[in-house]
Amino acid sequence: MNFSETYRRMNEPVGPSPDLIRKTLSQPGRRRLPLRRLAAAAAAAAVLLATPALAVRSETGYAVLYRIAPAVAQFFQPVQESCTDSGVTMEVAAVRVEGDTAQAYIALSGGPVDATTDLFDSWSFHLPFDQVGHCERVAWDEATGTVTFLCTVKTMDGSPIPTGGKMTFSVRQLLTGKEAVEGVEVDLELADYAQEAETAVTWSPDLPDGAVMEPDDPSYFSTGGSGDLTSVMLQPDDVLAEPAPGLPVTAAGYADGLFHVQLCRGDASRTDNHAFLWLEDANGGAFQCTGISYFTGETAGGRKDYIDFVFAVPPEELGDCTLHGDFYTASTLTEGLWQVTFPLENMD
Amino acid sequence: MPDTAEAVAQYGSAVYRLAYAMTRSRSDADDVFQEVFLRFHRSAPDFANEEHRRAWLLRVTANCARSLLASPWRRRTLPLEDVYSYQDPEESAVDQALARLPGKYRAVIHLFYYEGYQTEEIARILGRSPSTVRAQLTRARQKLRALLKEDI
Repeated sequence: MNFSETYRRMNEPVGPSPDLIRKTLSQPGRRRLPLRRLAAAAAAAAVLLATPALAVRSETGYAVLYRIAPAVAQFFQPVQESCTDSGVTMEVAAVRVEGDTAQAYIALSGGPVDATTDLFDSWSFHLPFDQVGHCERVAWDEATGTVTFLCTVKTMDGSPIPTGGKMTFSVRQLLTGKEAVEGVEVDLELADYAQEAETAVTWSPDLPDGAVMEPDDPSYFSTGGSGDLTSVMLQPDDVLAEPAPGLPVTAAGYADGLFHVQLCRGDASRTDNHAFLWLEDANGGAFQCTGISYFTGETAGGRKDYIDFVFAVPPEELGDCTLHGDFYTASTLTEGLWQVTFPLENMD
Repeated sequence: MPDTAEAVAQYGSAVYRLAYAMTRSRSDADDVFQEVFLRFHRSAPDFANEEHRRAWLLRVTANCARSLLASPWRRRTLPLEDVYSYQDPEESAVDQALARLPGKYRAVIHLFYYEGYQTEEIARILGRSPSTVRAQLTRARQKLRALLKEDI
């Protein structure tokens, strides 16, 4: 089966009916909610108005309410400008609102917090209007051990930030102890790997014709990459070298005429360890890889992620080359719930 | 005021298909469709270009469908006429496999396979990180592969 073609074919008859289009365009500003949603909204509002405290004291209740009615959820969410979990304190340091943009400085301190603290894409904004936003680390204060993030949100339609609203900012994971080791030579004698290497069974992200996965197959999945992508992955072996803690070289050799060097990233969902490798010849000239392919698999020790760097270098020239790289690692993932709620008004 | 009729003519099908892909219900897709163009009409956003307008509409569609899927009053059992039916065995198998995926996976599958977006673009439309989208795409394919094996 060609999934892509089948799926495309299946979607051809799907579309709005002429009656739906007519209804949508006839009174675009006056659409009424379906009755079942109106009834449920009324019931939810009745419960909330009778017992607002219940709605705000339960995190699950808040999450459910936010999905149903963000403005109502934020209305009842109490202001809480400080929160501590797992020894880490989050505080609202300042808020600035101007036009369609609101910015909040959020400070984190305590526990494993350090200058490299990364929110690991685990943050979220809750606001009573459609918005786009981002969050970035902006400062580190060595004296107090405080790292500051700047959260910026803009209304989606460019209208001014509504007055009287509240914003909730939540974080669930902190990545700390990040280190970068750049431009180092990897202690690996490449001439020893100038022959064909064993490859692993992998499953490509595409659904190949007739492909099915057997339960006993090693479950390495290609998860993409860059450059000239290949679904060929070397069979992971023992540690051949470890240029940075948590980033061992687990295989090296030729496959399909191309030289692969494989790094194991451990469980990338918990550390985000990553690297970039290149070759240098005797004169210091650099050979960049032609492709980088990512794989993931479950082993007895849990999830393991791998990167295969692929170089178009002939075997006879490999002995003249050395391997170099930039390596980025993190030591600690702290999980919890840090959540602050603050009014969307200027605060110094 | 925005030209809502022109937007419906141009992107109505794309909006409806994403809504249906996520909700798997024609009546829910109808609700989402109306909500999306209501928001379009009311907010009258400025767009840098056509691609921006298309992405905005798909993003709002995904948000509305996600809200609907999370609604506690959403009907869990749908009448037969509320879903598209397929006579071709291959299409029917894929349809049944898709029905067993979470809505968030179906959104990623639809935007990737039908709309032809890359994972970074899907991430922007759905408001997720690219790594989350890649992981969801991989998991969705794994699940589909396992489900289609049962059915083929």
